[in-house]
Amino acid sequence: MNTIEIKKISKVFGSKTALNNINMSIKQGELFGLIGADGAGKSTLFDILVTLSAATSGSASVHGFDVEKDAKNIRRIVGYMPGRFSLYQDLTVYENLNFFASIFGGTIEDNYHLIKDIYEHIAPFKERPAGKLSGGMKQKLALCCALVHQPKVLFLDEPTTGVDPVSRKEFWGMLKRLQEKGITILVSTPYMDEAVLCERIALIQEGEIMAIDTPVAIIKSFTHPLYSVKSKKLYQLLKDLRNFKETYSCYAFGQTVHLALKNQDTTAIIIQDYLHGLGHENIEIKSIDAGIEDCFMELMKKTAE
Amino acid sequence: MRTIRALIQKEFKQIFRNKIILRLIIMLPVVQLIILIYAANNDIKNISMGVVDLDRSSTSQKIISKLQASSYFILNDFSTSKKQGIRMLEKGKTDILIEIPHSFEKDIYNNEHPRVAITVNAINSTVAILAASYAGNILGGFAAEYAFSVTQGKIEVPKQINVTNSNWFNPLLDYKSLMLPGVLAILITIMGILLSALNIVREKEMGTIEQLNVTPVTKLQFIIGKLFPFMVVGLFQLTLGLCVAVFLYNLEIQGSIVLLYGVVTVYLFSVLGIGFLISTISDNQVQAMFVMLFFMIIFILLSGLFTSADSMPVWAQGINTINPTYYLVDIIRLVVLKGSTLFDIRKQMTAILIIGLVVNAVVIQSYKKVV
Repeated sequence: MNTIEIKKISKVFGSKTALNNINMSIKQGELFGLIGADGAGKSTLFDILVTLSAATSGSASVHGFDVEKDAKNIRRIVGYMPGRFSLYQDLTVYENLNFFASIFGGTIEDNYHLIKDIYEHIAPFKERPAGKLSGGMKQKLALCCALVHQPKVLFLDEPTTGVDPVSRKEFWGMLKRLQEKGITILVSTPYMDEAVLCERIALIQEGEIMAIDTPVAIIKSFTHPLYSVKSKKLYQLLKDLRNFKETYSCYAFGQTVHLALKNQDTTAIIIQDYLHGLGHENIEIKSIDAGIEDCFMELMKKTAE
Repeated sequence: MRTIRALIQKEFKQIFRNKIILRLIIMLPVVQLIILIYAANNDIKNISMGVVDLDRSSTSQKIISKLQASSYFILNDFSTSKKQGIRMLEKGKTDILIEIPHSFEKDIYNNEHPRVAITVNAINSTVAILAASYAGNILGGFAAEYAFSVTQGKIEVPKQINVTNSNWFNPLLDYKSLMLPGVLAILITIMGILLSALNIVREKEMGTIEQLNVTPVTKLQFIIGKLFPFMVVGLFQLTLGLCVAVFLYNLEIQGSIVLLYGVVTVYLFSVLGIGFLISTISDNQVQAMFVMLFFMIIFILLSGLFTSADSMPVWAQGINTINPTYYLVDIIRLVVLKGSTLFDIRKQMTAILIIGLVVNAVVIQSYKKVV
């Protein structure tokens, strides 16, 4: 049985369609990533699944409970961590945790084994008001509060946004360990590099799912030869490569340009000659493997066409 | 039960941790009762008086000193012509002008009709009416006794009916006794609506309500978790206010203290409900503030605190039937000054209770966990 089942879910706000006919299944014990840019509809989907908002059409169930009819049961068995820090800033770390344990009718001790790893990081600050914690600490506390009633399913909406790289890495380590304890986790993130840390991912753009698969399979589906190209003038380089007849697509990736070619026969030397002829200096061309972001870009291009 | 206890505990912690709110809860009843009661005084004293004495006789002198001798008037201007006297009135140096014409004493002896003119600045109509009537009383009293004595009883003084009143429930017509219970009622109202309206909106702003909505906490538990702490705060303020009333103003509470607490508890139930209702229709604290002010000003001005609610136009009295503050001001006065029992105030109590039930039912109905 799938823990989360989403069937033909749509959500319309006035004239704007936030979610368009979403279908998705998440298996028991999976660490599933919802990858998409800001405004793609990730939070809207989360709101529907955690019963904060009703879908315009379609149906969804969490752990066998319908999100509309059995909302009360869902609230008992899910842990939800909203994108924005939503704990009581004027209560201390310990008080927040104790409060959320109590309103679920339990105590911190009941499920301490579940939060122990995470709570130990913030335990030295347990007398500090939650509002005075650093970003990483806040995320850990929020995760503890979402876990303290031993949920069956965990919903984490952009848990690593605004968190430093070290804390982000730590956070993903924690999620892996929670997954090992049998908790189904649905996590959303705008960071493509985090996608490979999930078992399966869904790429979402403008309210539509572009692909659902394992990160490896999604990367494999990228068949074009890919090069990372660098030269002195980045903007000119991008413009020239767009006009290159062999180019399938090209995008700026930080200080380099990722260039996907139409066919396998085109070699780095041909590109080099083309750019040299246009007066580019310090040209560096490397053949690279596609990442999730390249796949995302390609899928976006395909959807647009 | 565990859930409600956790909610209530949380609320108290937040109240005690918010230093400004905490100070407000304690300072508001004490300071405002002290300031408002002394300032909002309806007794008119020290009216600035101007005199134009054209007669300059011993009789006119006697009249002036008689007026001066009363505690109502202070002689601030002695003009030589009416024109000058009026100018002082216009400048605001005086509030009342007494003009004694030059034939005044002569008219008395000749058994003519002696006249004195009183001109009053009526910008504040209450002061004007009282000043004119004080002056009229003094002059009338003077005329009767003086005319009788100087003419050795030759002039017949018209027979008068002497009306004496006895002021029940507030024998000394002490304005403080009337204002104190009323102001106390208003303070409880302001703090009640303020705390409840801003509290839930704050939970919205901080996003904490969203987190709570994804828990098994029911609407009823949520509302009880908010109602109870604020009721305790309201009753605490009532206690502070009563202490000020009893120890500072020596107000004697005629009715039952227990009844008073019972009334205020029911009242808080309905007024906190109004606060919650405001918070459900507001997205942020600024909006809530404005909606709150709108309702509060109507509630307070119509409550009968400053002017008698019975003499308001019919439409205003219509509004008052759903104005809980109107009932509370009435009840507190009745219980504190008159010693009314629960039976005497049953109508007002029922009204407050119904308002509370309706408002809170609407709150629970309109507070949606799912948007």
